[in-house]
Amino acid sequence: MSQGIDVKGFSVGKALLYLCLVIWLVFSIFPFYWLVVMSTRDTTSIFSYPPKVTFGNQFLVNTRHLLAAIPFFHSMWNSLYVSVISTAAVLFFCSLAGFAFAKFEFPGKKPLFLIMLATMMVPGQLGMVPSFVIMKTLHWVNTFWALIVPGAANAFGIFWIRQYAETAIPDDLLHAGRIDGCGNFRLYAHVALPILRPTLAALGIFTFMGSWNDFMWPLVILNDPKKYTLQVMLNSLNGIYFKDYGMVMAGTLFATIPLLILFFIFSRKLMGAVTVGAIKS
Amino acid sequence: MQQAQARRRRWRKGAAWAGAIALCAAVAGCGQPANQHERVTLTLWYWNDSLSDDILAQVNKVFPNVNLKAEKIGGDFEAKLLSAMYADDPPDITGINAANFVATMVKDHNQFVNLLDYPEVRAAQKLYLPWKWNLAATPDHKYQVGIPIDTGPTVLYYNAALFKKAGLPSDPKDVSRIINSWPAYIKAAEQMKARIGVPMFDNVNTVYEAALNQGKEYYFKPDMTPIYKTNPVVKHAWDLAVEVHKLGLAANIAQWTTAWSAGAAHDGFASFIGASWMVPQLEQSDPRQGVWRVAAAPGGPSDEGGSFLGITKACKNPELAVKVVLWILNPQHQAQMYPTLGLYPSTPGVYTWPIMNKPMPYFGGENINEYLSKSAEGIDIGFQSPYDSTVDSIINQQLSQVALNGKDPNQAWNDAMHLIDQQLARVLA
Amino acid sequence: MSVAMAGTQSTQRPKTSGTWRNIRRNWSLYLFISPFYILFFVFGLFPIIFSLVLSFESWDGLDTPRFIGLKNFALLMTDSQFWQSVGNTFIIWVESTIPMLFLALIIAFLLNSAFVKLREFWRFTFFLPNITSVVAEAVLFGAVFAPKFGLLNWVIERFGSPPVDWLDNNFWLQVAIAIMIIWRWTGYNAIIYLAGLQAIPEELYEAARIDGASLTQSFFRITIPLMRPIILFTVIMSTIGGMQIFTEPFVLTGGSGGPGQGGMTMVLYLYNQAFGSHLFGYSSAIGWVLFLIILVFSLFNSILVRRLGTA
Repeated sequence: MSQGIDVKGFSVGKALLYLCLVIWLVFSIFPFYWLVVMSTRDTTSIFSYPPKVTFGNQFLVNTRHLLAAIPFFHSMWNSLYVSVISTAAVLFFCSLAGFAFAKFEFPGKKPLFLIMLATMMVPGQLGMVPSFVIMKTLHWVNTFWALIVPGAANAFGIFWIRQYAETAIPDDLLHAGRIDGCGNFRLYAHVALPILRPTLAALGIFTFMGSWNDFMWPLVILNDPKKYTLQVMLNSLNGIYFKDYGMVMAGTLFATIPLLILFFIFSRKLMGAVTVGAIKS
Repeated sequence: MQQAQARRRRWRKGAAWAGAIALCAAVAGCGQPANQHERVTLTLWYWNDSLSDDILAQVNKVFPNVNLKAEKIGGDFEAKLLSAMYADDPPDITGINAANFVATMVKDHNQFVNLLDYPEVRAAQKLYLPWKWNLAATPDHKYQVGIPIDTGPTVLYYNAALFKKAGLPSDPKDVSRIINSWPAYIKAAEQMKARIGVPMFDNVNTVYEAALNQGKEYYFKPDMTPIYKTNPVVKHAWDLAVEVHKLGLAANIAQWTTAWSAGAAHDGFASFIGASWMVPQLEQSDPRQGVWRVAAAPGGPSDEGGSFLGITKACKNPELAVKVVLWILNPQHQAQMYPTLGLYPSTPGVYTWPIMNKPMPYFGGENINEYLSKSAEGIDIGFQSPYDSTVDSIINQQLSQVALNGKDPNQAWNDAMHLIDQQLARVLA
Repeated sequence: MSVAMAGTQSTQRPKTSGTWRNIRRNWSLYLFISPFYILFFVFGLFPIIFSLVLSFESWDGLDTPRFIGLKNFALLMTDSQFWQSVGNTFIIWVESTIPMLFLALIIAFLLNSAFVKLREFWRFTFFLPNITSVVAEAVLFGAVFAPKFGLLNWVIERFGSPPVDWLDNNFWLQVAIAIMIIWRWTGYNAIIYLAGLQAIPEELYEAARIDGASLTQSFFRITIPLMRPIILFTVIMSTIGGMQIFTEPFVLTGGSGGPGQGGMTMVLYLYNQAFGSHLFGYSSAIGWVLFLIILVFSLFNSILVRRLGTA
């Protein structure tokens, strides 16, 4: 269970160790605290000198200003909509392809797989302008399609599922299924999917977070404030209403809460996925 | 609805997300009001404080057949508008900001409806300041892309309490009389610094812009000959800004930032030259009543900003849009937007109206229109090219480097000229 | 590759049929994997080829594109702002990645020690910054770094130092961006390292101790070599991320890159030339040059890390 430094009984070392951890803890957590402080104060008191470090009582006022100024929760809904659909699509298409690559032999499989891996090396942001032009041709500018479709089946997800499926799905089970007359899709739906569930959950959280926090592409694609995702709205809020800082901070707080909740529920799963991803690749 | 529910029930055994999507679609569908089938929807893009929200809200009542969707665009308005134009999906009516951008839009005038095609526009033209009107017209005056919202006469905003503390004149009349030129302004700034240690200027870029706009020629001649390297107005404005920096008279706080708001409210700087639309910026930054005052701008009158409304080619019912725009921007509304938003009318007929000349408690009961109208009358604007914003932003960048990063001013000037050459080469490639 | 012979063809493979029949028999599998290739072709490959075409053109997005040969590339070679943005990106990358990975390694090492209580709690809180959105983070840190009246400057002044121009001075702006990256990613990398450390068998350390190895010796002889693949992975990931820094400087400087352009990163410059200056052709050329830079740098980087590990 435990390795590495052994400082048993050496209490100074122990104290030092905890001190380091606590320093980092403060560094990690303090910005969250500060966010709450600012979102409960009005602008003048946020920028008073010396700063006030305790909670204020303006949170409801700030929230009211926020909701009066912009359709904040509408943009949160947009983000939810885009993220949920993106995640569903990614899980479906990537598990299908990952399953095929993991458990079947078919002509051209190896080169196809290698091509797919190679595409991971291409930094997508650099094709920003032509991608925008393509979206224009498809009449997808200012639509959620442009955010959902391009990443719906991605190399990372397929690779991820394949790595897991290779060992997790027993061949015997597939053989048995085939003898029962299952086609490939039914093998996928009835045999593979239940087994893949844990890894799908991890990939799902990843995808959801990535989609929820995505900024540059939605910034390029979305023009109409009614279509803004939360991140684009937050940037716009910060740009327009810099004079009402308490309100901007209230918006920032609201934008952070959904993922905080998600993390409180799925923290183990997510951190597990992060480490598995790193160690396997 | 029932059918949808039945369908949803049937799907329950399927993947859970299918249900989620169905729900999403159902709720999203409910978002659209169904009772407006008779109305023509017009979308309008503007930015915060550029039009009166109250007036926009009345449009649907005044025009029963119109459903106006006014949307406040944040962040980089111009980039958003252009990107919507690339995608052939611009709003029906759009705000067009300040001189530099309107010049770009005039260049791309085929994106807009020619307003001169409409008799009511031609009839209304005489109500507006001619030089302002012409900023949104092609050089041959045959294509009009926008109708002026406001104009931006500049004045000196100053913190009277700080002026008094520093032993400077604090009454608007005295300030206007004594601090009437750049040398006098800088002398006062030195006194301010020596006596109470408060910077007179918010930042050097404000100094540069103010001095530049007071000139009659900027970066290009009307025939597009570049003069940014040789125009004495440009060099004078640059030198003034550098001098302010060298003497340590600027607070180095950029406008349109939270720091600026905090600086205004906490005596971070004592004055700035700005257009009338800085009034709400100031009011919302510093809630103190009677601290700030307005006087004539040292160095003379000038115009800074002031925007337009244009109708894009995407508009399916331009006749109606023209009526709506003319109504929004009629003289009554122009006058109405002044006391609330500091949008100074582009229709000079209203300058003497009582609503324009009320004492403003925020400015200690001063009627600031006295100075604004004088400034507006004295404006003699020069030619603005579509590339002015490119030149301007590079010069300001280099100026900031001088002020904030201690860059050598001569080096910065040379770099600015070099970078402008480069960027223009790219634009004109 | 441990792939099962589960395909239908495995039961009785006809000798004469050739691959075509084989392909037809497996049509459903091709259907399974096709979405990726279709999407990649339309939204991945095509834009890349298209951007090559665009990079030889002058186009503002509204008028008709004009072919101008290699002019965009020629202008790019002498574009000092572009090269400054390349430099900025590398500076920010170094300033963030090195402290970040170093701190992550230390934190993982501490968390891995025998007596640390509440390991889950530490893991949880250290990971927390990673789940906030970069936009929210930048808005928040923008307030903390505010040059006048910001929290951090107040603290600095309390310690008797003059306030720091976090957002205006090139050097400090880059430090500020690096701090944001460190805040966000250190815990993430520490969690990865911790898992790596926990995978090292205790017996190795035990054996080393019996052989009389000191703590530092076993750290450098056992921990580091065994952790090398994981360190390599984190270096590669932070290189990919670091080369594409955009949101932090964008939100922090309102898209301008800061008064001295210290926060102008490569991707921000690309974005500004495309959607700010409306130079679609020129920005496509930038995209291609950036692609090459990133490619070369990534290769160099992974070679370097491999060398360091073996040395």
